[in-house]
Amino acid sequence: MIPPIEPIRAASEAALNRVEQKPAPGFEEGLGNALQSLSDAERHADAVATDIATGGSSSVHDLMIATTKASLSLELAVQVRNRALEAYQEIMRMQI
Amino acid sequence: MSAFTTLDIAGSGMHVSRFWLDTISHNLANVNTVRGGNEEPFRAQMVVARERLATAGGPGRGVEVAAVMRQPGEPTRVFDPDHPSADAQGYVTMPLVDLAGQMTDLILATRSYQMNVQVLQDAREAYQTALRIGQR
Repeated sequence: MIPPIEPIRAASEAALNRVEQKPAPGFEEGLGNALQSLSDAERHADAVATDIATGGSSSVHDLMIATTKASLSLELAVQVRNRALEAYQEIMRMQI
Repeated sequence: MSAFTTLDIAGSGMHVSRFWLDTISHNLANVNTVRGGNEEPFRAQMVVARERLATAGGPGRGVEVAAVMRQPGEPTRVFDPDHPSADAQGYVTMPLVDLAGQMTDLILATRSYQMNVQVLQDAREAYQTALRIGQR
């Protein structure tokens, strides 16, 4: 037995609805996430430093790794800001 | 943060090396721990390391301490009737610590720690080089 052919409208409507569900994350969101992770790294380094100062179970290398991560994250954030600023200034210098 | 995984992997190596150093220190501190004639002797602690695997196909996630074992073997009983913990026959049990082996392990553990620190420093330099890409 051949199954009856179903209308294709329902499927295409669903596909159309799916397209406009979520826009791609913009630059603003990316920068926000980067700053959030920088803040997390710095807070973690602070927590480890406090733990060592108060006689906790963290080791010296834990603190060094945490501070290294925090400083690398900061450097990354600064570089991203530099590039964004460069792009902005390039656009502002454009002759109209 | 997942962007700097090499730092975490090197950190896990440092953690295990420090753990190893701690057990060697413990074993050497107990090198004169004598027990009574019929008691179980002090047995040196041995660290068992285990690879930390990634979820799927990626590089590993470093190393971790799987277990702490005790040195096997038959202890030596020494006749020392003046010892306060000697048994009725005057025997005490000497600790089971291989002093020469512990000293070589000490060198290995120290070098292993230094090696992981070196990896961390090189990784940091590599990340900093990456951050200089496209700089004017």
